[in-house]
Amino acid sequence: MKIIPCTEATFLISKRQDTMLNTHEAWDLIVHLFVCKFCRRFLEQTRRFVREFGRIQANESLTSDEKRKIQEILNSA
Amino acid sequence: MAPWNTASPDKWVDQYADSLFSYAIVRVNDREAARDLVQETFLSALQNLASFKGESSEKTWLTAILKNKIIDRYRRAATSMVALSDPADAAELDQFFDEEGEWKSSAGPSDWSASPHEQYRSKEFHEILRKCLATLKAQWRSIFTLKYLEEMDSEEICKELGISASNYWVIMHRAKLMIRRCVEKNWLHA
Repeated sequence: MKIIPCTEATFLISKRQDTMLNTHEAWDLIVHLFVCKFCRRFLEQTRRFVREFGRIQANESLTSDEKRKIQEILNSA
Repeated sequence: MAPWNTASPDKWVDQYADSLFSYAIVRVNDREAARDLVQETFLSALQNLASFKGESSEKTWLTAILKNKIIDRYRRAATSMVALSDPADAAELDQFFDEEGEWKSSAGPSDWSASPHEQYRSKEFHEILRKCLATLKAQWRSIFTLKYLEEMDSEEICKELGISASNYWVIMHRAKLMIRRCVEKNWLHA
């Protein structure tokens, strides 16, 4: 049985996080993951961080000068 | 009957400028651009006051306007960059994989299991994610942001940005390889 290379396995892992794989792709990936520690880590780690992206919240501010300018523009609009 | 929730434009800058600015800067990663987007959002909102029905909060309404402006910006950037970006550039993959397509031993993912799960929720981790997202080229960043920050469908993203589905998959794959490596370097090996 032919095992797909890691380039292809990581591609399928990435795709699976977004959509359904077809049976052939899904099977190729399962077999690969069974034998490849690095790709198992890639799967686990990317799954973890893509989920976190949706939770990022910055806490940054405009300067009072910038706010004043925006306010002036709004006042004259 | 007066609506229970009316807009108060004179208070917008005081009340919402910072939170809109924070929302924008995560997504465009450019202080000046984020500030301009906030200003444009207020101006559009002012011109479209009649469309504010008071069904959502003012903040939700303003954020929705801002979000559309961000997507517009990505769309404009995407059309001007098509020629520059060749996602099939194999050299990028060479950093990670050998000629057999296997992980190079120097690039293979390390074991992250020592860091407790709750650390991934921390501000510090989120800062690293932002920093790593910023290292992607602009078009990849747009695609990644629309998918994982705006949670849009891949089909919708392809349509909005005028890219093919196969390019989308290739870009997503490369973007995740890059971000994963960046996170590992800055988080685990920091």
